Amino acid sequence: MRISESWLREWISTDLDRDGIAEALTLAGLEVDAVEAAAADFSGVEVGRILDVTPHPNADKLRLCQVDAGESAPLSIVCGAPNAAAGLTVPLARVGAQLPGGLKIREAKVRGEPSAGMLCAAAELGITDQADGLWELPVDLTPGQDLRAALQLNDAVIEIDLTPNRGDCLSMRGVARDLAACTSDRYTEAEIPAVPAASDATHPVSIENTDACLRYAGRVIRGINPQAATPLWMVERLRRADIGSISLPVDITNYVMLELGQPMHAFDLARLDGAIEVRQARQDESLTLLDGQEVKVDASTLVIADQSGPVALAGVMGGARTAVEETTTDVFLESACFLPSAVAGQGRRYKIHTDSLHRFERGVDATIQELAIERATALLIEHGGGEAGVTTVTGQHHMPANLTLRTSAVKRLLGADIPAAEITRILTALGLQPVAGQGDWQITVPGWRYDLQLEADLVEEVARVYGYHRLPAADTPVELPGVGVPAPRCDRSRAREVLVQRGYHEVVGYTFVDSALQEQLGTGAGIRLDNPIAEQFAEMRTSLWPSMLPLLQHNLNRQQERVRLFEIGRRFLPADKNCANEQEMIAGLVCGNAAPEQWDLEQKQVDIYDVRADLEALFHAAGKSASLGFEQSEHPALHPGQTARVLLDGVPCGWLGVINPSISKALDIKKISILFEVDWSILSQQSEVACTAVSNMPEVRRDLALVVPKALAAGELLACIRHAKEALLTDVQIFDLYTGPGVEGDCKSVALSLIFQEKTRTLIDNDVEQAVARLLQILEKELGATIRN
Amino acid sequence: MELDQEQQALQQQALAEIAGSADLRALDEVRVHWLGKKGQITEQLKALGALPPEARREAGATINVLKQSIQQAVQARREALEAEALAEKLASEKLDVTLPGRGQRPGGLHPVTLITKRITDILGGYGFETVEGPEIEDDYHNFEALNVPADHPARAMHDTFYVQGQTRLLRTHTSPVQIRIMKERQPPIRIIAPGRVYRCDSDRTHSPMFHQVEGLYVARNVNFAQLKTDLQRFLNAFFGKELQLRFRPSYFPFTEPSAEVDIDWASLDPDKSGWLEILGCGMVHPNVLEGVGIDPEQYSGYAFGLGVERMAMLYYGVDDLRLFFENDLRFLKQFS
Repeated sequence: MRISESWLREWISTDLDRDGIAEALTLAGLEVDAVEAAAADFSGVEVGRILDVTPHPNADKLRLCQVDAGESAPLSIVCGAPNAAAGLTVPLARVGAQLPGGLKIREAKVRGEPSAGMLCAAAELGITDQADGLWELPVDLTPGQDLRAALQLNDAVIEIDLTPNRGDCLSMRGVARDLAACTSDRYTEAEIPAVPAASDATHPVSIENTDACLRYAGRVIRGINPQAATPLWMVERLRRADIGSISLPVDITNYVMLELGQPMHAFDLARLDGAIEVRQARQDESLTLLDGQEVKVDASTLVIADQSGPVALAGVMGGARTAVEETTTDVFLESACFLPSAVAGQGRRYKIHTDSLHRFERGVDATIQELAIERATALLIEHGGGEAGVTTVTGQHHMPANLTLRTSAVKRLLGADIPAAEITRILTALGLQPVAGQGDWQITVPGWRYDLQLEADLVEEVARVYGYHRLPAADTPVELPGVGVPAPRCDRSRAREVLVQRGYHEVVGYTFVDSALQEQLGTGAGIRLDNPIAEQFAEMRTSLWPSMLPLLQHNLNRQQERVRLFEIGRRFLPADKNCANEQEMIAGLVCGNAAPEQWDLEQKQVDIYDVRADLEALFHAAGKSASLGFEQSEHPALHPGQTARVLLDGVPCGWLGVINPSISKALDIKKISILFEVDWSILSQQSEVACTAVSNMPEVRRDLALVVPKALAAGELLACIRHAKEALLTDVQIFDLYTGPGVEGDCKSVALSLIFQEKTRTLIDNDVEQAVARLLQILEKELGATIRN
Repeated sequence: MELDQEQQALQQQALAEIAGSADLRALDEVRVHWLGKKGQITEQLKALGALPPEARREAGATINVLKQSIQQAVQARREALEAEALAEKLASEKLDVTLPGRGQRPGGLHPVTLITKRITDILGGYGFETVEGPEIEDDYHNFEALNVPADHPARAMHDTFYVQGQTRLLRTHTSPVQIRIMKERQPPIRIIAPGRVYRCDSDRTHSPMFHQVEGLYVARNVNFAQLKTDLQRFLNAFFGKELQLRFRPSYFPFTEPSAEVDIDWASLDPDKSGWLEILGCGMVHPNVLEGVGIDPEQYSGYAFGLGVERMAMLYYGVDDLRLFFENDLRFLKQFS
């Protein structure tokens, strides 16, 4: 809502200056977004009248104008505008004038002819954007008058960002009324006398359902001058509200809407086919709107219809068939109260948003239909002539709702003791007609306050007008809790810390991703959005990888040689029709060298074992080292030979692998990248700490070099040893791998260190040798392993 | 016990040789030469046996004086040489301690995580329990139960992403978590719900995905004064300053009264002026309480919603929202 300051001051007499008004509005809940000058900065521009126009002797497109500037002798000015003509009243920038953008007007010769200034287009003064010739001002302006004064251009436009509950403030009247209630300034209701009927002309109106259209005021006005122009002051006020001028009748309906908040419509009476019906549309009816759009309407849409069918979408927009045109002399004015429920959803359905719909959706004062029609009639007759018929009102009267406000509710919700007299004053100032009772007030909700439905709404009104800033704060902060919350062994902070210490940077990726990338990665099709912001954000991710790979590209393209990213966030798996399976995942992406470049460490490309160590650290932090496992597997996003399924107690819970080279090629990622992703809900599950006593008995280490088939996975070898359940064995590590001379073709050598301990006594060699022998026997039987000589 | 002239000469010669030995090995040779089994002093002691007992006692005592003086000199010289050798060894082991450390360098957390943690840590200290809810929501929890019926103009405040072929949507705020918790529990309820939210809007100041923290406190006698106190305390703690706040009327369908909270810029940053909108809040709307089966005559509550990125922008002085989602390492590394 854009408010002209000078117009506002006609409604309210206040000592507040411009900033003071803006602040008072904001503190009243009518948040001021901006305060702008009504016109760009210029000076020295006056009203001029062209007396005579003659051709320029030296240029075809230029002419010489004799311009009355209110002085005894006319000024001679060279002008190139095609519409320059004798009799026009136009802006005259005299020598010394300063135009917007800093252009200074000097005495000049234009193609040999002297010019004592410049005649201006509206765009040259920063009034409009279009530059189509000289700005034609009303003829009743006096030549020589300062243009800014003549047009009240030293005004400000206050832009208010209204919340949807305050439909009552979508007019000058409403803003002034509310501001006055909050500042205790005097608010003057405009005097709008009824225009007596000059004829008994009426047009019949019927309302099918007063739950949709409460009331409908109409009036016939015949014989207006179709050439009549809209007065400049009105054009200016419309302009300041961002509404363009169209024709006198349309401009007047818009003006009354801005002034009083009542959206109106003017029909060309000659083109209405019989009586008007306000009704639900019938099946298969359609309507061409003023903007040329043809819409199909049905029983869910309220329309205004004549005997040939719909002529307007009620409260939204008029139809083209009955629109006021350049030749229109007889109009039928509509000033109706359509209820919010009747127009709700129409904007989204027909993809139209109009000033009218905006107001009806939020509620239009149900008591002002006649007032608006009188105002419009008076303006139309004053500026366009014509003869008013009788105002007809169809429908019902507004039945105001009653509410009770208890003092106790004010105290309970606000924690403030506001004196009863102050509450009465506030309620009265808001027009709520309070009647004080025992500890409460009965109030009558005025026709313009659709938002007041409950006692809590009244409490807010009291608080709002009293001033939130004046309300007290509590003496004590919120009380402390009595219960503790059990924390999981590995919360997100811990996991984050582990990865950060291992060189990872955390990222936050969009959860909607490129469906093509998702398909390419083979993480499964995701839930699609109806209205994505862009095609590459159209599908919910089924893995964190499609969010992360574009971030890798972004960083590689910016000379980041070494990228290690992780994210904790959700993926969204399509479940049944109306539910998604949201799973929190922790995922990582590593590219570049294993360690940052430094002076004393050999650089090597990161490989799967570097990242596996990171995962091991993560599972260790979660107390799940012993349950962690990896098995050779395949995933479409990953290198077929370098892919591991991550297992927790043998159950799959994630993936680790080198990105599939065909994918990195397609994504133009030139370095090896390693990906992992683990189900966070599994990783973060509580794991109990089982503490056992520490034994002081010495440990014994035995190293074994085993020759095994090359294809044997190390994990299998270790699992075989674990499954042997050798009581004395406390730990086993692989400390070397070897293939080459000394180990036959299809075999490899795996060097193991075995740690033995007996908790209650010192081991003797014989114990250990027997244990090793038992293990070797099993390994040979199960895996064909032999001792390397 | 005076040394005789010959002995004095011997002593001087020995001490000179000790002082002249350049290293431990040379010193040892000198020691053996004087004090060894066949050393000069040992020889003199051996020669005592030839003297008469009277003279033997006196001569023995003087030779012992001589011997001790040489022993002491050897010992002193040894210690000096050892100290010298150690100093030399240490000097040869000198490292350039200004060279960087070896190995992995730590990464860093995302500023959204850091700020969310700061918010939940402070509010957690006040007794707000952290809870979470789904990001794909239904119309009921995201709108209807929050007093925003279908086609309500307030829906235009939220540009909603809808899921194709379904009635569901990406939650536009964390407020639906309020509904889920209030349906599950009985007052007193005191929760905060951090998480991702979505609006289909994208420019310098709008991101289609961002983060909020919702706060809710429902109990007997929760009032606006309490809300004012708690938010003042929270914001002071967050920014580490005594802030000037302004509560100003606003509208959210699920609170009544509703307020926006502004910070007086000057109290945050002396170089600035004017008001800075920081969060929305209010008293839980009676329709919302009734809808979840809590009697609004018995209980009241306050709710507030914080924009995490907004807090992060203020806290770190970031002026472009999009930086948080670009995840450029040059940006992220600044938070390490």
